[in-house]
Parts: sequence; C-alpha cells; structure tokens
Amino acid sequence: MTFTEDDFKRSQEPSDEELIARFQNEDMYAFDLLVKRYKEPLLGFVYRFIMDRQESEDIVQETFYRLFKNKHYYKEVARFSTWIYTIASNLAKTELRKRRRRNLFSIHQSPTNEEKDFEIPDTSNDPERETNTNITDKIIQSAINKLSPKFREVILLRDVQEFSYEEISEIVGIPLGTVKSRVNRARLRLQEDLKHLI
Amino acid sequence: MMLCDKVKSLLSAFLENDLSHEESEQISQHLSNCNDCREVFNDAQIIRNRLLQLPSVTPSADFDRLLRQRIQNSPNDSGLKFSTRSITYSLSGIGLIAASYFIIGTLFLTPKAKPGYAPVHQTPVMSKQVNTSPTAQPDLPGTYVAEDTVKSKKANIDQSRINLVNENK
Repeated sequence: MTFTEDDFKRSQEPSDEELIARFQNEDMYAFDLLVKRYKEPLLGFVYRFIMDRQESEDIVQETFYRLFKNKHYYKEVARFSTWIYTIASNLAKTELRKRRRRNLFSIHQSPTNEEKDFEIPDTSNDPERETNTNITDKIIQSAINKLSPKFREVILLRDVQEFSYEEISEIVGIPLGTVKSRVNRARLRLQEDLKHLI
Repeated sequence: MMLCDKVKSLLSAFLENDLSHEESEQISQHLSNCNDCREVFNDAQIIRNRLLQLPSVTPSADFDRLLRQRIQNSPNDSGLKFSTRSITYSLSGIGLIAASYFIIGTLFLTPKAKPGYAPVHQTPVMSKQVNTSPTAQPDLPGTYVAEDTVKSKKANIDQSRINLVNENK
C-alpha cells in the first residue's frame, strides 16, 4: 500500500467527526468546511439518483440547512458521512415519491434535457477522446436511470460513492444481506443493459 | 461444483473479495470451467470500473451564496418556532373545546321555548320585577312565567255591579 500526497494531506485535515463536534460548539468555520467537503459528492449522488439538476441542488441545499438547524441531533455513534447521506437520500426519495404522485415525470425518464447542465471536469486535451467519454458516461447514466429507485440507490452508494455495505445498510435502513443482494442484482441488470458498450 | 445461478448471485461479493476462502476457491474453480460465468464476471469488472470513473457533478457557482442566504433568512431559534407552534396548537385546542361546550350547551341545555311562553331570561327586567315582590316564587331554573298569565286570568270583578250601572242607565 502506497502513501500518496493526498493521503498525507487528508491525514493532516480534521476528520468529519471532529468538524461536526466543533460546529456543535458554534464553530461556523467547521460548518463551512463540511459544506466544502460534501457539497460535490452529495450533489453527484442526488443528481444521479433523481436526474434533475435544479431539484438536486435544492435537495443538497436543504440537506446542509438541516445540518445547520439540527446539528445537535448528530451523535457520534454513527459516521458523519452516513448521517448526512441519510438526510440527502431521504429527501431525494421524498422527491421521487412526490413525482410519482403528481405523475408529472417518469422515474425512467431519459436525461436528455438535464444533461445540458452536466459539468464534467476537463481531464483530457484530446477532444475526440473527451467526446467519447461523455457519450459513454451518458449511456451508463441512462442505464442507471432504468433501474428502479431501490436498486439505483444502492448501486450509486456502492459503486459511485464507494460506501461499504455496512454504511449503505445504515443509510438506506435495510439489512446488510438485502444491500448485498440488491447491489448484485443491480450490477447484473446494468451488465445486461450495457452489453453493447462492453 | 457450484451451479451457475449460485455463482452469479455471489459475483459481486467475489469481485470485492468479500467471501470466505472456501467460497472464493469454489467460484474461481467454476469460472475456470464455465465460459458463460467467466464472461459475466469480466463484464462485471468492466462495469464497476466505469461506474467508479463517472465524473463528479459540480455545484452551481452561487451554491454557497444561496445556502448562506437561506441560513441567514431562517428563524434564529428553532426552539422558539416550536414553542410558537405549540402555543398555536394549544390555543386552537382551547378554542375547539370552548366551541364544543357552546354547541352542546346551546343544543341540549337551553330549554326549548313553548308557543305562547317566553323564557325568563328574554324579559329580564320583568322577571326581576316579579321576583322582587314579597309574594313572588323563587326563581327556579327551568320555570317559566306565562306571558299572557294576566290576560287569561279571570279578573275578580263583581259582575252584578257592572250590570246595575249599565241597566240603570
């Protein structure tokens, strides 16, 4: 195992649990650091889960707002990351339920209009390669959208956000065995759907 | 020898080294003999790597500003908000109970007016005047004073005297 510069930097930074403890003692700078640390991964998760750019930003805003107002509800028995993802995940699921009730949108809707806002970091100088990557990403996202919310949620948490099975079990509130089985089934479905891409 | 279905159900765990040594051995052995399952396993590896490489989603430029604004515009004390709400709920409850008492009282406790009779409280001045008389009955709940008691009561008048006056004339 190699110890990278990033790992070294991270080891110097305060942990999430230290930051929330400081914030609970009215340290606003700690709150800013938590927002800085989590806004992007949370947005990635919520956006890929509900596929609506504006709504996902609102949900992440609401998540941080709830963190701000209810900071004392956090107890150190759980990891901060699972706690904040639980809030965001519940809000996202509520939004999906609202949509279903309103029957305005389909949860299997293709993300054609939303992806205009997709901001992908510039990691390549080769435009052709970049275009191909974009297309592949869109195809993968489209396959993820075809999964039902319960499979989509676990596959995003496991394979995109890289949470452990135990953490996913806490976030989603289902038994560990169910998480493993859902992840496995979601992967097999994605494989079937993306066979042409492989 | 494991069956293909069983292997497929354990592929995720195998991919992530989340199986016992014995189970891992069985699956490895199966994969070396079964082309179908090996293909599925290879595909699973590729898909997993693709998912891990999906680009991050960048928040809009005014994300922090909007969040700060929202926090600044929010009520300062959530406890105060809660207590205000509690007071509102309490007052609503009290109002509801009072309204219920009023309705029940109106419907069941108030005596029904009989034709030709008026309840005492409709003519408070008169009833007081009656009650102040030394011979008056005590004011009992539910007792009525007939509105036309005086009119209907026969006057104690000597009829012969009246006749005398008229006939003589």
